[in-house]
Amino acid sequence: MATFLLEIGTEELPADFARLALPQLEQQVRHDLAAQRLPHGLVQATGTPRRLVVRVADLHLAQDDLAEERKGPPAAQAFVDGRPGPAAIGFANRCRVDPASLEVRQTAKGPFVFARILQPGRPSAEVLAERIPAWITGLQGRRFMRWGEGELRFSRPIRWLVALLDQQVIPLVLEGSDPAIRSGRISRGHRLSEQTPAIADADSHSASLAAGGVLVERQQRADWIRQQVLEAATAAQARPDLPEELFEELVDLVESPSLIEGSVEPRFLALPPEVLSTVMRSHQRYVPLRRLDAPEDPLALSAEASLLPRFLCIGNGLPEAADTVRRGNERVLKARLADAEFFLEADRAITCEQRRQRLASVTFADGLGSLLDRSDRLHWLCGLLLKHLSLPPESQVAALRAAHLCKHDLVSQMVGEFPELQGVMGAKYALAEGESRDVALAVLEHYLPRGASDQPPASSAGAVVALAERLELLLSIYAKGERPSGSSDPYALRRAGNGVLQILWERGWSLDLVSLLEQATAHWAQRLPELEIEAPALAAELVEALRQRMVSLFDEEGFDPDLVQAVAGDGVPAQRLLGDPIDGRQRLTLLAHLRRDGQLAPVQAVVQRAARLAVKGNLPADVLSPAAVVDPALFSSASEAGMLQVLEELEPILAVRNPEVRYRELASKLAEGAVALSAFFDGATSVMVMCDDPAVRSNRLNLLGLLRNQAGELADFSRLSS
Amino acid sequence: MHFQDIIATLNRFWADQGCLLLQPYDTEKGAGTMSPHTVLRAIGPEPWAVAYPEPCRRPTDGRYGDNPNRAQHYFQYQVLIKPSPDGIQETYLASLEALGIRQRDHDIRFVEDNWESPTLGAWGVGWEVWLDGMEVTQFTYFQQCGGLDCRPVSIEITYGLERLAMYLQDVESIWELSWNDQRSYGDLWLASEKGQCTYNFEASNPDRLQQLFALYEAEATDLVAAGLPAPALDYVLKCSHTFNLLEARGVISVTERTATIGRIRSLARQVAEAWLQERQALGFPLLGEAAREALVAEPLG
Repeated sequence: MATFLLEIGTEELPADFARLALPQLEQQVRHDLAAQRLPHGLVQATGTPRRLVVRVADLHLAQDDLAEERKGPPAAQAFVDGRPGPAAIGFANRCRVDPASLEVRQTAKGPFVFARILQPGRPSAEVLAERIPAWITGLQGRRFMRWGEGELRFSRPIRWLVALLDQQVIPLVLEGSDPAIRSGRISRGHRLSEQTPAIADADSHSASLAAGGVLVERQQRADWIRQQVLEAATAAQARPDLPEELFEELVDLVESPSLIEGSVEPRFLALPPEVLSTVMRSHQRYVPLRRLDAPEDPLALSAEASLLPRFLCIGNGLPEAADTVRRGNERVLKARLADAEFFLEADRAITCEQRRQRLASVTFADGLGSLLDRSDRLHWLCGLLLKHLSLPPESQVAALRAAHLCKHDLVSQMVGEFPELQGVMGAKYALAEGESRDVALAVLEHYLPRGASDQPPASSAGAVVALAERLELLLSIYAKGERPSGSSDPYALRRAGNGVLQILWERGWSLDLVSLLEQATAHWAQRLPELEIEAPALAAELVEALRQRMVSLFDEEGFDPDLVQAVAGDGVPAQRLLGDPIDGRQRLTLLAHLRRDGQLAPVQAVVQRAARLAVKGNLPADVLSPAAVVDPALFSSASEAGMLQVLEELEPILAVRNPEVRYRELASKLAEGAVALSAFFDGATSVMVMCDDPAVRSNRLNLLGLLRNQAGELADFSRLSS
Repeated sequence: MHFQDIIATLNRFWADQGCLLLQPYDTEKGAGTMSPHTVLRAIGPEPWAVAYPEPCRRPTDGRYGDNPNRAQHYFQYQVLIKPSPDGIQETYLASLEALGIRQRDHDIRFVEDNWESPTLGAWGVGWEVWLDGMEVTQFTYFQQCGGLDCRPVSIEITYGLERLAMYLQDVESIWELSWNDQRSYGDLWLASEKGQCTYNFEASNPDRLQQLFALYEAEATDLVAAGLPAPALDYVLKCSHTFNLLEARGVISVTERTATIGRIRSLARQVAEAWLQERQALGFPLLGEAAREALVAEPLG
C-alpha cells in the first residue's frame, strides 16, 4: 500500500473556487477509485490560493482482479461432436479466453456454455496516470478561462503538477494547457520563499511545503486565523465583525497567514457604521472591531457607539515587513474613508426634499420620465395599496411619507459611491433631519427582500412601500413593452414579482392583486398617454406574470411539481390565484401535508376517476349542490347513496367563510369519505356509470361531476400524478 | 522616483520583454483598454505585444482637485501580450522590482477580480494586484472582445500610475507627486482638472450632449455599415465618452443606462467583426508564415 498525492499548481485561484473545489475533488477521486477497483484509505483534499491538493492514504498498488462469468450459446449449438464449433470459438474470442476453457453448465433452459473471464488488476500508477487529467477537467466552477493558445478551461492557469505514489512520480501530461504540463515532484513555495520544494515522497508533502513557507492545510490556516482574530478582539475588548463568508475568504487569500492590527483615525468614526464596515469588509477584507456594548441601530448616523477605531487584517507577507504592510493598509483605508467623509459632508449640505427634487433630472427609462416621476407613481400606488389593506392610521401616515422620500438617496454622493447602501443612507439622512423612526425605517426597508434568501420588511409601513416599489417597476416596464425573456431580465422584473408575493405571504396580507392591477393600469394609461397603454390587457399580462412567479417560487421551495400545477397551473383562473395570493399557498401547503401523511392518494384516486367520467356528462363546473341535480329515487345501489351523503356533507363546508378552516375541513372530509366514494367504482355495491337508462346514467354522471367540482375548490386533481 | 521616470522605467522594462512601445491614442477614453492597441489587437489570431501609457478620462470621478486620491483625468500604463505567456505574473513582479518595490518588503497579492466592459462586449478573468492592501494593477486574461472569443488569449496588465507613484514617493496627494525634479503633478494638471470638473458637472449642456451622442451613434452606425472599423471605433469611443459626460450630469438612471450601454455594445461588436474581416482580408500579416498558411486557408468560424 502506498500514499498517493496530487498537487495541481495554479496561478492565484479565486478564494471561493479554492474552497468549493475541495469537496468536489475528494468526491471525484473517491468515486473514481471505487470504479477503478482501487481499494484505499482516507481521501483528503486541501488547498491554498495557488494549489489544490488531494491525498489518498493506504492505496493498493494494483487494481483488484476482476472475475466475471459470461453466458454464451446453448451447449447443443456450441459443440460439434464434443469439440468447440464456430459458435463456441466466436464466443470465446469475444470473451478473450481459450475455447478449451469454456464450461458447460445446466440452466433452467438446458445446458449452456459459460466463460470465466479473469481480468488481472493493472498497477495503480498506470491507472492513476490515465485518470488524473479527468479529475482536473471534471472540476466545476463559475467563470472558467482559457489561457495562451490552449483550449483547456480552468479557474486560473495551471502551471505545475506534482503526482506521487510514495516516492515514485506518476508520469503524465496535461494536454490543452499552454504550455502542456508534465507531472513531476517539483512544487512551488510561497512567492516570498527562496526555496523550490522538491517533494521526496507523498507523505512529506506538507512538511516540504512548510519549509517553503506554505501552510497547505486549510483547516490549520482557518484555526490559526480564527484564534488570532478572537485573541486580538478580546484584548481590545471588542467583538470581531467577521461574517462566515469573509472568514472563509480570508483563509483562501493567504498561503501563510499573519495578523496585522491597524488603526483608523478616530475622526472617521463620525461616518455611518455601514460605510466603515462596507469599506473594511467588502473593499479591503479587513475585520472591523465592534464595541461589546454596541447598540443594534440601523438608523445610526455615526459609528462612535458601535465601532473601535481599529481593524484586523490577515496578511500574507514576511514578519519583517509587517510594519510597512500595516502602514500601507492604514493609508489605503484612510484614503477611502476620506472620500466617504467628503460624500457625507456634501450630502448633509442639502435636505432630503431637495435631493428628491433632483430626481427630476435623472431619466428613469425611455418613455417613463424621470426618477421623480417614478417616485410620484410609487407614492400613488402606496395610497392605492393602503385602500386595499386595512392598516392602523400611524402605519398609513408613515408609509405615505416614506413613499414620498424613499428614492432621495439615489442622487446622494454616498450611494453613488456605495450603491449597496441605497435605502440605508436615505433612512439615516431622513432621521437626522427629524423624520420619525417609523418613516426612516420604512425608507430603509422598502428595498427588502433583496433576493430569495433575504428577510422581507419588518414593519408594516416598510412592507407597503416595498410592495409599491416593486409594483411600480412591473407596471412601468411592462407598460413600455419590455418583458423578461429567457436569461435576459435586465430590470430584474422576476425578482420584483417574487418580492410582491414573498411580502404578502410573509405578512399574511390578503390583497386582491387582480383588482389592484386593473385600477393601477387604468391610472398608468392616464399618466403615460404616449405609451398608448391598453389597461385591461396590461393588467391581464401582469397577473399572468405574477402567476408564473408564484409557480416558480412554489417549485423553488420544493413543493412537488404536480401539486404546484394542481393549485397554480395554467388552467387555474387568474382571479382564483391572484385574487388573494395567500389562498393558493394555504391550499398547496395543505395538499403537501396530506400527501406526506398518505391521505392524499385515496382521495386523488377517486376524484380523478370521477373527473374522467364526469366529462361524459354535462354538469357545469360551478354547480356545487346536489339538491337540484341528483335524484335519490334513481339510485339502485348503496354506493350511490353513500356518495351522495359525502357530497351533502361537503356542501356546507364549501360555504365556510374562513378559507383556512374551509380547506382543512374539506380535505379531511374528503379523506374520511374516500372509502365510501371508492365503493361507487369498486367492490360489491359498485355501479356501472354508463348504463343504458339515460336518466340513471345522467344521475350518476352528476354525482361524479359534483365530486369533481367540490374537490376542485381545493385543487385541480387532474394535474396530480399518482 | 519621479512620475515620468516611472513611465520611462516601465517602458524600458517591457521593451526588454519584447513589447512594442506605442504612444497614447488620440481620442478620449475611460481606460487604456479602449485604445485600438488593445481592444482591436486582442481580437484574432495574430500575436501582439505592446506597452504604452494612456491618459484616461472618467468625468464622474472628478472632485475639482479637492480630493487627494481622485481625478477625472489620470494615467494608466497598459501592457497587452498575446498569447499570454507562462510566468507572466513573475515578470510583472519583476517590473515592480524595477520600480524599487521589493516583494520581500511588502504583501503583494493577486486577488480575484473579473473584468467586464459591457460597452465593449468584452470580458476576462484575472486579479487586482494588492500592494499592502492598495490596488495598483489590474491583471486580465481576455476571454471575449467585441463579443468574439479571444483565440489565442491575451493578457492585459494595467498599472494605476498615480497610485504607484504616491506609494513610491510617499506622498498623500496626487497633486503633490513630482513629475520631474522641478514640476509637480499639480503644477501640470490641477488647473485643468478644476476647469474640466466645472465643465463635466456644471457647464456642459446635457441637451446638446444628448444630440452629440445621437450624432456620434449615427456616425458609428454608418461607418460600421461601410466596413471601416478604424474610424467606426473612434466614434464608438466618442459615444462612450459622451455617455460618461451625461452620467456626470446625473441625467441617466440605472435603467436608462442599461439600454444605452446595450446600443454601444452592439456597435462595438460590429466594429470587432469588421476589424477581424479586415485583418483576414490582409492575410493576417503579423502571423508567422506557417501559421498564416494554415489559417488563411480555412474560413474563420
